[in-house]
Amino acid sequence: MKINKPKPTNPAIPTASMADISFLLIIFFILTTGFITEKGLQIVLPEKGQEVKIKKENIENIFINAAGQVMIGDMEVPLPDIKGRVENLLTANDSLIFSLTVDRKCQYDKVIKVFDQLKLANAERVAFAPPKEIEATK
Amino acid sequence: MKLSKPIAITSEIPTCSMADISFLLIIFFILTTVFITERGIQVALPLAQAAKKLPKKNIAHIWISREGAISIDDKIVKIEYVSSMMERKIATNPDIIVSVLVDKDAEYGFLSDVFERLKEAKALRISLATLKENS
Repeated sequence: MKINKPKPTNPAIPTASMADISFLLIIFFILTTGFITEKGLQIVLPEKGQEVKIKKENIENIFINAAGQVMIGDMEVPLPDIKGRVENLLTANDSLIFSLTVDRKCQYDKVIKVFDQLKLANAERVAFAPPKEIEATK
Repeated sequence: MKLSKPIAITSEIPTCSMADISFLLIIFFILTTVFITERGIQVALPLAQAAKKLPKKNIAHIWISREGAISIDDKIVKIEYVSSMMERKIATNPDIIVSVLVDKDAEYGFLSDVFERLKEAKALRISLATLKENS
């Protein structure tokens, strides 16, 4: 009896397309990766019912009316001059707290622009006072 | 004269390690991928020069649209429910920073109302989301 000898097979896993598949996956993950870094201006709100009394001379009031006009103390200050004015106030008294009183109708963008200037002037202590209606300055 | 025949050179680019390299890249991108889980409302953020980067963890978002609609966890929420929702978030994670994304054309009043609710909920660490403006 003659039995066929089994032929020696040469098994191999085809790896040629592996790189293609993995590159496909890479492309997918590159496209879905969002290196999202959120940015913002940080503030800390005061706790309710824990109002701390602050000396009057350590508070500087900043008012913004509905049109976006800014008053520091009782002087109207145009937006580009805010930084310099705040820096001057801080060098005179470095424990100064800025209290921002903004009209409810004021556009948010204008508030942020002022707050940004305060941050640029390194004013660390800024508080948002409850909004009031503020008359336009002449 | 006898000229030596040029030897046939078989040139090949080694591709064995290609798969390894690409898998390394895959692992990198898998690990850095964060799928966006919250959509919020479409808001146009204002620009600010002093904007600072926020940490990636411990962030809760509140969106405020131009019309004053408030969105938390992809739900439009009435102002009355903001404090109770934030209280729950603060209870599970006290280190939370609330990132408030307000449309630049919104009224300031909407934000100050939300501030009052956040104070009630003792969510005191706030970030007003902006885009970075290059000075």
